[in-house]
Amino acid sequence: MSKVLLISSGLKHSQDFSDIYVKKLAKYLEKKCDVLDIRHTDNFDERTFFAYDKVVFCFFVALNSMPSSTLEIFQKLESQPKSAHIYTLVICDEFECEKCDTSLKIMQNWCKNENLEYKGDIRIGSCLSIMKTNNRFIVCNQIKKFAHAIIKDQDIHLSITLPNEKKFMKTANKYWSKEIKKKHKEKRKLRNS
Amino acid sequence: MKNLVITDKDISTDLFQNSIIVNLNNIHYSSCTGGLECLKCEGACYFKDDMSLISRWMNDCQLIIYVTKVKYGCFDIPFKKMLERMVVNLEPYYTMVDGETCHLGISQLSKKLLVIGYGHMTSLEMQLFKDMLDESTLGFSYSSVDAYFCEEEELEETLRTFGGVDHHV
Repeated sequence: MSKVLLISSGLKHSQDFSDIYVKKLAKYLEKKCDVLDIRHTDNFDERTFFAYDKVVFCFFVALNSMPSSTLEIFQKLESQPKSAHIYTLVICDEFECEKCDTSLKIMQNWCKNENLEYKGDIRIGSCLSIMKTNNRFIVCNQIKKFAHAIIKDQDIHLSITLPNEKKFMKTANKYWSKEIKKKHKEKRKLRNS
Repeated sequence: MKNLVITDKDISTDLFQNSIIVNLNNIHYSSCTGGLECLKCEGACYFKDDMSLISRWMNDCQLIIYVTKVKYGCFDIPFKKMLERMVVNLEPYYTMVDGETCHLGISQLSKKLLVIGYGHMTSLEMQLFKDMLDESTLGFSYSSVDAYFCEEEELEETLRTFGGVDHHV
């Protein structure tokens, strides 16, 4: 049994995209640990960081690298006592999970500098559209595996994205078409009212 | 359009006389909220601040010079916050470039990027920074992306070496 902290450390509204994955992870973790705490960048208190055995940073990459909000957390934690094992749940909207790698390397480098043990990560590609396809079941399974590894304190590296680029281009571009149409409709409504 | 120098530290204006110099300490800009609303609204950012103009300049100029502190193998926080606002210069739809999916930049004007990173860093952090630059410039039509590193105390001397580089563009 352990004390786990999930920090949703992405930019403020990018958490709208990552929340679905964070909630899934929390669901799989909650029954298996003593304490599960979920924090966002705005309600995260660095002074309590030392109290957790395991910390999972969850974020949406920003321009292919670590979001500034996570860098701010790193800075806040520099002067704090800490010994937790670190895991990362990172998502990107492109097809290739490798787009998350720079952020993971920065995370690993920070852990090394701060003498923290980096234990593993899950990379999720096509994050804007994958949960709207049948592949959501595979995503859930992978998150479950990740949660299991966190509880068992095991090293783990997982990645999941849509099965091929053709499917990605179709579903991901459809996502943007829909969102843009929705915005146009909202604007028209506002103008008419 | 002149060339653009963006810096997070006070630098001498004499060094880059053919450029507009933007000092992040002297401008007002909000942090990107990451909701990608600008991609849904044809590049219209919710915030109307100095960054609206700078993002337009970034599209139009031919040489961009970043002078930034490097921390954790990444841009330092103020610089990263500025770059995050540049998501407004991306197309929402995905395209394949060199076998990778990415958002294309709105401006396909060929430009050069020169980054002068300062601060104390390990060779691993330098490599990390270079990798990050390569990845973040995919989708934009940069004809060259170069990064040079120095200690903070050596910055002035390094900048003097690069001073006048904007004459040749």
